[in-house]
Amino acid sequence: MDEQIVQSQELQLFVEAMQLCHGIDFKGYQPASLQRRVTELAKQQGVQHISELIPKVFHQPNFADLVVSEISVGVTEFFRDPELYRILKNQLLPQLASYPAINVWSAGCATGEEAYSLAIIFKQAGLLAKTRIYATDMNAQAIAYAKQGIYPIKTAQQGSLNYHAFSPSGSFSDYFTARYQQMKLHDELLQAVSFFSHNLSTDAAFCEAHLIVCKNVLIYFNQDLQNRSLELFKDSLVRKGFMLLGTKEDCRVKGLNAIVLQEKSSVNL
Amino acid sequence: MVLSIKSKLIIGLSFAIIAFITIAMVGYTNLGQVNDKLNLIAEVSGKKLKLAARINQDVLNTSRSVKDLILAKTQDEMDQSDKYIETIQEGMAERITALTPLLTDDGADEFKQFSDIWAAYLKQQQQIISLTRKNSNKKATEISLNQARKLYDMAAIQIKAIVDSQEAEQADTVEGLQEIVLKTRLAARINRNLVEIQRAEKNLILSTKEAEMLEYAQFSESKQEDMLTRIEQLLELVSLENKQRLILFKERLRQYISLHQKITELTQDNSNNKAITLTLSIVRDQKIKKATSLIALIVERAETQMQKDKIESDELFEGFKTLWITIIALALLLLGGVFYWIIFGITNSINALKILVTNLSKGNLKTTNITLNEDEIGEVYADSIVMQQSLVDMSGVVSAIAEGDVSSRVVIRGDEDLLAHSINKMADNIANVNHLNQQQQWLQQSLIELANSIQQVDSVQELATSSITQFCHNLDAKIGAIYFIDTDNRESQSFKLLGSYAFTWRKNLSNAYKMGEGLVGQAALEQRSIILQNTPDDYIKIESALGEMPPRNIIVVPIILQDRTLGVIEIGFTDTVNKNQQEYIERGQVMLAIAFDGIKAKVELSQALKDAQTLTEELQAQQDNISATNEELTAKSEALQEQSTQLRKAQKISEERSVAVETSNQYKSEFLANMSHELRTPLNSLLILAGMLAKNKEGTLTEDQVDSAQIIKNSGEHLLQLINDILDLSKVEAGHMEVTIAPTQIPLLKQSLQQRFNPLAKEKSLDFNIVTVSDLPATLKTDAQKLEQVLTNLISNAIKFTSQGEVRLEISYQQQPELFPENAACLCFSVIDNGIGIARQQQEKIFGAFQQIDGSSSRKEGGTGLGLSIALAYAHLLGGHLKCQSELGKGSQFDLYIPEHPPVNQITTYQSSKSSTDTEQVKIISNKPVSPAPFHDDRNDIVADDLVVLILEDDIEFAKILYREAKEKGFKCIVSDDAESSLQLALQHQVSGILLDFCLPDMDGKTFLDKMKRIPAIRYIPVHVISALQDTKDYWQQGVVGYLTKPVSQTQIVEALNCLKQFSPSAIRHLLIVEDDKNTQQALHKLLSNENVDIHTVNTVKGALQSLKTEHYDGLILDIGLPDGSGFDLLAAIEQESSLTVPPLIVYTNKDLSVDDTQQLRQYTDSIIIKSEHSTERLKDEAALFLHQAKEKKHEPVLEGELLAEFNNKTLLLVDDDMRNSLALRKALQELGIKVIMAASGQGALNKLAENNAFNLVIMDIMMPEMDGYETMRRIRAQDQFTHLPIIAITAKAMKGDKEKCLQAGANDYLSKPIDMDKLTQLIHLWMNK
Repeated sequence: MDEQIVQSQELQLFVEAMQLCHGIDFKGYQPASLQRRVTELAKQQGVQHISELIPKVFHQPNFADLVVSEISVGVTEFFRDPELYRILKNQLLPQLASYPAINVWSAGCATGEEAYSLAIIFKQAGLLAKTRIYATDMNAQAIAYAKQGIYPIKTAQQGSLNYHAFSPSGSFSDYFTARYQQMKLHDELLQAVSFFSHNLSTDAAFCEAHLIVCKNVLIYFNQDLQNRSLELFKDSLVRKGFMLLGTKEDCRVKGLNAIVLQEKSSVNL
Repeated sequence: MVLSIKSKLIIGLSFAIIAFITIAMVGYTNLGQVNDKLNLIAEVSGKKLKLAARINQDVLNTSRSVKDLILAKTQDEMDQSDKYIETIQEGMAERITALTPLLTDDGADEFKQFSDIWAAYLKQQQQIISLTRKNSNKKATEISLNQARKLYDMAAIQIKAIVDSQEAEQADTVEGLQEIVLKTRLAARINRNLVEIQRAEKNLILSTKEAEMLEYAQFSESKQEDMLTRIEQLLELVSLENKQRLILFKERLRQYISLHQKITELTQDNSNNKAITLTLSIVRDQKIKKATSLIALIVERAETQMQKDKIESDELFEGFKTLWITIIALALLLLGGVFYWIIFGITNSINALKILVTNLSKGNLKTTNITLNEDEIGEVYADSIVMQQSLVDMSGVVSAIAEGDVSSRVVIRGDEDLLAHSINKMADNIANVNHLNQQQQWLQQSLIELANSIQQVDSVQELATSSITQFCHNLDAKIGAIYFIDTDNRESQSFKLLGSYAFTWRKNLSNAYKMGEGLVGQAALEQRSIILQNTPDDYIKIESALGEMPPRNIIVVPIILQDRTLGVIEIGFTDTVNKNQQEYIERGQVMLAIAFDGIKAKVELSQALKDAQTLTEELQAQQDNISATNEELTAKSEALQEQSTQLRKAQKISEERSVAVETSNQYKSEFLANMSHELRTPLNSLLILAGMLAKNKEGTLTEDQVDSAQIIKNSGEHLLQLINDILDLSKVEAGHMEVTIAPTQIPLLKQSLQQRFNPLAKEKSLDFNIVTVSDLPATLKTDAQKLEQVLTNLISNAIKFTSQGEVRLEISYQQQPELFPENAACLCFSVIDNGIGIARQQQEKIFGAFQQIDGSSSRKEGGTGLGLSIALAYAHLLGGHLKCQSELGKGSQFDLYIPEHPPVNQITTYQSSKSSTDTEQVKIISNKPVSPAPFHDDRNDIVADDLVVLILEDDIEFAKILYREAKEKGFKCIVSDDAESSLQLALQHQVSGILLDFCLPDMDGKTFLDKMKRIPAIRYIPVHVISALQDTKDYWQQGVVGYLTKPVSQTQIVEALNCLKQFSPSAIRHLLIVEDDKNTQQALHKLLSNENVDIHTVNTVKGALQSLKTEHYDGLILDIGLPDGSGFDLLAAIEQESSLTVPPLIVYTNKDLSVDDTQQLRQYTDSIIIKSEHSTERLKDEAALFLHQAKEKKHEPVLEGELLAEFNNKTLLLVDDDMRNSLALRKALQELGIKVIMAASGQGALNKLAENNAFNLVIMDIMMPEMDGYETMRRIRAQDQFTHLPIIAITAKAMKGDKEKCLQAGANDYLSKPIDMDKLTQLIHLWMNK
């Protein structure tokens, strides 16, 4: 029991250090999950206690990036949850088509698969030319990776399966070139997506979005940070804009005057 | 003093004896010392060495055992390891105690250090053991992943099947659908609970904190309870097939839950993980290594000490040898001296005697006075000669002795030849001592040789070989064998032949002996040497090239250490074995025992070290494994999340369905209610007229015609009955059916039924009986009329479908806890017939509306087909149940269960009302009477066309002010201080607007608005908020047309009233549509026709401009592509005209707009709609918004004149891709007097700069697509003319590094979003003045 208190105090100090030294704020993260992640990091760093990570935070170059990388859980794939893309394609895109320009914000994009998937369905709908996809994540390493638009071929396999699950025509392979066990997305898609590192816990709204997709990100946040993030989304969304959240996330957002979609549920327009 | 020869001899002899005794003593003492030293080596250093090595081994054994313990899979294994650890610990504690006093000073230090480390380790180890023993996360995981998983899957399949079957079920009736929905919901809920329990379980296993674990366990428990209740509920509802499934599911669930509980227990108890981590950390600590190395140091020390001791003892021995020789030499010298002295004395005597004799022979007798007689003198002479001879002899002997030859003896001349005796005795003694010394020397030498021979060996085998060789060599034995205990086979205690000397193997000889077996075993058992003398000739032979001979004597000596027999030495001699040899063997045996033990310890130590290493590896592997398991669990948990999503979806769909069903049901019922009413009116006259016709009073009709009229009447009556039934049913379904609960006399009920059905039964020749089966309460609290109606229906059905026999009503008092969980007491009315019966598959259907088993029968028997539906609905309405059991051809039984005490929620009576809107309103608005106005208002003198404002304000004084202002503006006023009343007032009077205080005593403004929006009649009344609260902007879009924050000025009140006037539902809005496409024009008209708008349509820019000039418009819908120009032209033209302003605008176009176009339009509106498939919906939304919403008030920045002057005529480039943000900024900046040029991208900014280099400042957003702000700034700075152009970066990012990056890229300053205008103004001021 005492050990637990000590651990949580250590974690508190660690979080404080990250904030002080790098301005990266983990205070709004679910403590249990954060504790697990940081403990894992400590183990990985070969130290026994979380507090031993603190000097590294201050003095080891690039350690903050590592921390962010380790703490963020970047599980993603192309067209993850095809049903969602079906709904997007059939129900949301026709409505978005009535805007002269469409901004899409993929928040917590990890390695960018989701952002590119969105680009593909906008391309299919003939809307890509007037669409700008902003993809953000706090993990700078993931962002750097995502910008290249190059993925292991294995990713494409799952992507193809997902693609066929929602789209009757065409093929995922129409959108990339595969070689050397790698796949590279077409430049058109790469140009349509702008990647930025952006932290929902500290940073502000930066665009006017017609569609915001933020799946399985809020689950790591405590209520305050969830509220902050939703406030951010609310500020960013245009009137009657669309917000897509993950399954785990509470869609009854106070004051968020957007249509909130849950994955796989029907759109209630 | 003259001594006699005898005395001299005695003295001399004494001296000699003393000398020899001294020599012997000195020798003995010295030997003793050497011996002691050797003993010390053997005992102390050896012991120390042994102890230290053993301790070291113990350390490793302990560490190994702990790992064994952790890795142990079964409890038995665990117990074993635990026990073993205990044993080791006990032995170790003893050894540590024993070792402590033996250690020298610095060794003691290290040992103390060791002890400390060890104590710390033990403490941790105890923790590990207790953790491990308690725990078996692994087991829990295993159970969870295997057994529980299987059960779970099976259970999930069952419940899934139920869900699926329910979902697949098609309902024919609304009621059926409702039931399906309910069932689906229940099943889905059960499934979800199941999933959640399993998830909790995984989390439980994965979690490391006790509190978390507890939480998960509790959570899962609550879910289990919930699930069980739901299963019970579901059981009641589902079909037989599903019931079986459900029962199967329940069984699986029960098993699963018991496993789950086990898992929970295991997991909660336990934290193998912790134990492993602790162990690994100890390993990492290298505590054991340190402990081992410390002990190794001690061992090394002990070995060095032993070496040192040995050298010392060697030296001692050498010293003793020298001393011994010296002493002997001295003794001989002394002896020589003594004898010289004696001989000298004797010579003198002899000389004297000789002189005497010479004198005597010369005859010189006068000078001497000698009393010797002649015989004696002769004798003396002769004796002298003899004496001289013996002296010569003696002198020879003594010289020989002096030279070391102790075997020479003096010839003894007689018993009295004391001197000769003495000398001989002396010689004997010396010889003895010498022999003794030789033996001792041999013994020591041999032992040292033995010690040397076994010192360097590394294995028991080597020890055996070299030791037996050395033994035989030293003992001059001809054959030998050595056996050591077989440590691999601890239990049987056997001794294996490991080494031999000149030993030839013979078939019938065993190379291993058990304890007590043969001489070897016997010696081992007795722990005593056995000497075998005069062995028979056929005993083992000593072989040589020349021949062979049996050993005459055999000695079998056990090797013993601390009462433990470690081995046996067997040696064969051709001669007898002397004591010395025996002693050598005995002493050698001890050395061997120690050596054996040491080697054994050494070997075991190295083995243990290896073991420890492998165990560490294994443990690491296991740790990896655990990680993998964790990942697997995480994956599972994700899968579960997925499942739970699906379930939620299913649930949501079913919820939606149920809502839809409710709604449609309501509509249906309303429709039916209305329809029945409408139908009944004409039917009524029809029936009357048909009746009149059938009576044929005038007699003008033919019989045929009368029959027809009768048929019309009968059919009409049937139709009326049908309509009434439908009405009843729909009333129940719509919740409009009133239930009047009152004590009902059962006897009366019986009587009434009897009277009613006796004639009918008689008509069909049936018996009708009412039987009371058990004691009944006298009264029943229920709605008697409904009850009777149900029973009437059941009984008339029974009579209808029974052609002969009996129809019986049985009334019984029962306990039905399954039907009525809260209060099981109920009355059961069973209507039993032996009529045609109902087929099983039909039984569920008969309760559905318009369901009859045989369509034709209804024709025959009459009836609407609604009877049973109504009966069932009534039964439910009364809080009861209606069940049917029947067999085709044998009859049916309908059981109606009515609770003795109606459930509370069932007592609610619904008010019948004429329309559903009213009902809804009744729900929203309480029945509370309207509270009176706080002061006299105009509520009683409102006439049509009055503009009425409702003032909802609890501050009476402020309300009075508002009242006065409103009156002034020509409003009639209703003032209220409570929200409930206000809603009613708004409904009662034609209210054009509401002034709302957000903080109300009975409900807050938000609730008021919510309620208001749910009442269609008052939904569109514009509301203006006047509140002390700041943050009301969230409700802007709820139809609030404006808001003011208290305190307010009179002007603001007037504005608010104007606003209300403008938006009052009665106020007509003027709308201008600029559109050239006729179809679109029409569509727009149609779309907006519901709104209270006056639409004016033009199709050219010119026309539009003209219209705007002549009339005021509240809104403008603008197409971009027009015949005589574009929408942009129109907007530009409006801007040009100083008398005109752009009214609220919607751009509705099929033209694709470029970014610049959009930007330009966005200055006027953010309602830009591109015509597309779904665009009309958006247009409708946008139009509704702009017709119902007030224009946002302009934010007037307060700026000092100085600044304003300074900013005048300055040009600023605003670079931001976020159009909304840049427009707002531009607006604010323009208000400061700054001219703002906008660019939406990095490239755009560079272009703008290239076109015009008169910019005073650049505001640069960072997060822009394609070319971000950093890059753009770098490119700007790369141009010489812009080196000093002030740039203020704005970014959404707040991290430390971001600011630095901005500055590095060339920004002069930095501001983070959201933009604080005051700060921005300050920064602009700062940098423009640079």
